[in-house]
Order: sequence, then C-alpha cells, then structure tokens
Amino acid sequence: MAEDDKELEAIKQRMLKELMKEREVEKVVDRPLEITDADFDQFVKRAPVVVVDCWATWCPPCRMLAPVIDELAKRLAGRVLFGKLDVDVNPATVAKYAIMEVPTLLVFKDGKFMGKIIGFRPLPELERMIKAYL
Amino acid sequence: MNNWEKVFEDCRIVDAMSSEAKIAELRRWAKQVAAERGVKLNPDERLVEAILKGLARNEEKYGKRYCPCRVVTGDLEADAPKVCPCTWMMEDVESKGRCHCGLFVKG
Repeated sequence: MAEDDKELEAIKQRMLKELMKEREVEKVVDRPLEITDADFDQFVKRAPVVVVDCWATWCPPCRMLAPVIDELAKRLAGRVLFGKLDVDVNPATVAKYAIMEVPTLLVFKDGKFMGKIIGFRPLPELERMIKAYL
Repeated sequence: MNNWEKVFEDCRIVDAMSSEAKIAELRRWAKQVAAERGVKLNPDERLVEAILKGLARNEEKYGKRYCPCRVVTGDLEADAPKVCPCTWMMEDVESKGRCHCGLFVKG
C-alpha cells in the first residue's frame, strides 16, 4: 500500500471511530442534560425525539416531576433525549415558546417543535404521551 | 448572572424571607384566601410550605406574591393575573381538584 493510501486509511479509521463513539454517547444518555438558551437549537436536533423539561427552582410540581423525568430518561435511553432548562435564566426560550407556567415540557421530533405538555403528570401517563411521538 | 450566582442570590432571599414568622404570616393569609373562596389549603404540609417559600421569594424579588409555578416576565400588566391567588385558581380547582401549583384544593 502506498504511503498516501496508508495515511488515507488511517484518517478513515479515525473518523469512523469518532463517529461511532459519538453515536455510542447518544445511545447511552440515560439522564436529563442541563441546557441553556445558547445550546437549545443544537440540542433539539441531537436525537429523533427530544423532550425539554422547562422548570423553576421554587415550583413544587417541577420538583415532583424531576424524578419522573429521570426515570423516563433511563427507560427511553437511546430513543428519547431529555433536557432541563431553568426558565429563570433562559428568557429567550421562554419567549420563543411562550412558556407561561412550569413545569412545561417541550417536545421535538426530528428537530421540529411538536407541542407542549403542561403541568405535572404521573409516570405511566407521561410515558404514554412521549412514546406516542416515537 | 450565571446559574450559581442565581442559586446563591435565591438562597440569600429565602434565608431573609423564609423565617418562621414570614411563613406563618403567609399561611394565615392563604387560609383566609381559601376560606373566602370556598376552597382548602392542600393537606400536604411539605408542599404548602414549599409554595409559601416560593411566594415569599417572589414577594421579596418582585414585590408581589406571584405564583412560583408561573413565569414572571417583568411586564406588570401581563404578570398581574399570576399574583396568588391567580386568575385561573378557581377554574383549576373546580376542573382538576387543585390549582396549578397545588396550594389550593377543592373544599
């Protein structure tokens, strides 16, 4: 094999390895990730279905919902990516999606905004609602 | 203000405002509101206390008792319906058995 071919092959292998590593990371994200206005648009394109939990520190239903979201992130790992956005410090997303109350879940499919789920929902109900987007 | 600064600021506000006396004052007020509207305070004590702390924090931060589960925009007119008891309280209690944040429940 010529030197150029060897180098090309090495580059190909490295890129393939990086790509596979990237995909592997997406597959094993089994917890909600903290996001902000700055990375919001990129984040909602990271998986076929993305759910963003918009919450506030002093909102008790948000705290009740947190363990439900944690559990769903585990159960739906590799199929649905979950994010958490603090509405107090991310006004651009709040304004863009007209978020009036918390908790509000924003659902995206293939990067496109599909709708909101407002208020606390028990685990089985929320799981059913999110699975409908798969 | 970054996230950590915000948390520290919120802690400072809550330390200042969530004294037992302040929470007791808010509890008396919430019971009076409930009696006037024919509803009850949620029997879940921990939930009530968390909401009262949120109300105390909002009163200190914004000057009004905004519901801690509503987004405060800074537009006084748009935010007016979010002052506890919020505009949607009775409707939510009647249709769902409790208001959005859960402070008031069906009597």
